[in-house]
Amino acid sequence: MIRLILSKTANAVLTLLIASSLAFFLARGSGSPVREILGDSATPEQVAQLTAELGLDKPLIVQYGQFLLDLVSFDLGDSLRYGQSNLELIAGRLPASIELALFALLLAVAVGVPLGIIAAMREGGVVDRIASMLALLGQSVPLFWLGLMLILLFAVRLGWFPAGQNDGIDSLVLPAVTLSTLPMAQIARLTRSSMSEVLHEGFISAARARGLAGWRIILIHAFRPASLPVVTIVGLQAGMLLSGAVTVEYVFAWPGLGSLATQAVQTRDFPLVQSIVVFGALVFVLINLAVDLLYGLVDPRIREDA
Amino acid sequence: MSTVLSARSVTIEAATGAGPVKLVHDVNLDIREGEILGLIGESGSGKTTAARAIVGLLERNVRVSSGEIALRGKTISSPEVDDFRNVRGSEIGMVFQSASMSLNPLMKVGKQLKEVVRRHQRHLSRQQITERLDQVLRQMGFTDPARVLASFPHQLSGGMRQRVSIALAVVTNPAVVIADECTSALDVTTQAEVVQLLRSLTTDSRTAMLFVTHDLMLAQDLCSRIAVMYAGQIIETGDAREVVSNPRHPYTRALLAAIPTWGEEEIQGIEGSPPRVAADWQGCRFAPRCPVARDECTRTRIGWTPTGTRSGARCLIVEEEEPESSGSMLDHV
Repeated sequence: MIRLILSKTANAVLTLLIASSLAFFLARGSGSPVREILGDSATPEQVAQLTAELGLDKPLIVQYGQFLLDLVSFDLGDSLRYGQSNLELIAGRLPASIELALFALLLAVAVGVPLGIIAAMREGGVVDRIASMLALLGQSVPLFWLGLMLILLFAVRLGWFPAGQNDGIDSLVLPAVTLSTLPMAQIARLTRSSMSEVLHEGFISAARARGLAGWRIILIHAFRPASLPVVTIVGLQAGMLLSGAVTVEYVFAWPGLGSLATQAVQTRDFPLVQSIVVFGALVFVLINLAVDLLYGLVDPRIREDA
Repeated sequence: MSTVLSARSVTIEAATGAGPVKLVHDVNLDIREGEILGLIGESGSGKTTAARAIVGLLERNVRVSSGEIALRGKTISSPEVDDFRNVRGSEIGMVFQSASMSLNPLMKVGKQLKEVVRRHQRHLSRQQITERLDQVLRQMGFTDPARVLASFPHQLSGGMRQRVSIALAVVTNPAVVIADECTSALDVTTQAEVVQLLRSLTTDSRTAMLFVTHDLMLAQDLCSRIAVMYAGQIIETGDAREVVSNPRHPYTRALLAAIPTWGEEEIQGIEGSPPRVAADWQGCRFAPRCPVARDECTRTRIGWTPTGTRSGARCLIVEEEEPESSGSMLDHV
């Protein structure tokens, strides 16, 4: 188990390094933020001065070295636009993002998993067909459209929920429902295919031959091995939702990381963009680490192989 | 000795796109207390389908279309039997071909055993269950039951796993055990171990057993009686030694001739291959490959000829050789 954790951690550090390097070079490749900050009327002297201040006149490799050094000391720098520490900005937006992501993910799991299980129990049956149709819809409907439609119906027409902003549990419902559709669809599809595979295994017939109750066979014997790929996709989705549900946050004016990222990109605030990407990568890596460890808990064979 | 399990004219059909196909046709079986009946046949002969029908494990499109399977005289094959699940695992235990097919890889052996006992013997206390598990594992030849109970299947060797599967099938003291090719995947030494175990099970606990195999010599060694299946039908049955030393049906003879012996230059196979299952069951199914077949073999319906009190064959030639019988339709196996 210790060896498993160590090897996974080494992997995680490597992933983080690659992701943050990519973020660094891509942000630099998008052009200088100096003009964006000073405006069109700035003199060449002013531009040169700010460029030097931001360290942008140094060779790229030197900038990169400085970036990595800062990263190791957990210094993500300051935002160009807000003049505030990037870490503080992210920390300020994080609670709202976590709230939204968690709620959406819970909804997705609570609906997707049972739907997938029931569909797998009766392949080709009514539930199966409805589920696969819903899954297809959930994966193909654009989120901005769905969000707008929900606002139109439940906020404007019926007035049940607020149309945007974060204030109270009420305002969480519409964005969470919108955000949950894609993961819900994927979770349902994956649960179905994974369950259906396990249900055809010999040990399931054997459990039937022992006269065990149907629910016991489904939930205890079949779902546990079938849950491995589902755990993976839930982890991936959690990372995706946490590190910025860009579209949905934008549509619902949700003050989370996603909308912060949108603003940062629009204002070419690349220390902030960089920081958000690094943070997102960190979230992904941590969640993947958690998923890997969870694998070992679910399947004893994985625990021992490592 | 009373009959524990019986099959009467059991026909099993699979619904296919092209209409129903008979997988097993008019099968009759009787297994008595402490008796091991070997069900012999090559792959595709329907022996596994017949065995699975007894445990109610047929695929969704497959069903017993006529006849009945009875346990101590009570029908268990009709779909109306809603307490069938109580019979499975408590009165009928099944051992599968390989342990990987019968053991849940993610569950400790102890938990899997406890689960069956709790399901079928609710009255047992925790203490009694623990004792029963210890007892059954010792019966299966384990000297350290506690360690086995705490193990996951992958932590045990192949032979140990198969003995655990047998323990799972018999922990509730079933009246019948269905063993489907349960030694085929094991190496010779382990196979001998498992066979010995099955034998002691029937002598000590008086369990009746249906031993499904393709290995005629193994069946002769282990079983008291043998039934030979070909293309979905039982074509010969009788005392194990009798069937091997004095086979009546040409197919059984051909099977025996195909067993390689020391010093043999060439292995004798049976020409051709078994017919594919079809709806039409006119005539003898083995006739096209039979060295002594005649024209009428493919044309007339072949009845069952008793050759003794509990033996018989489905063959015109046997019918002629047995003067007293007149091709009785009532197949008493």
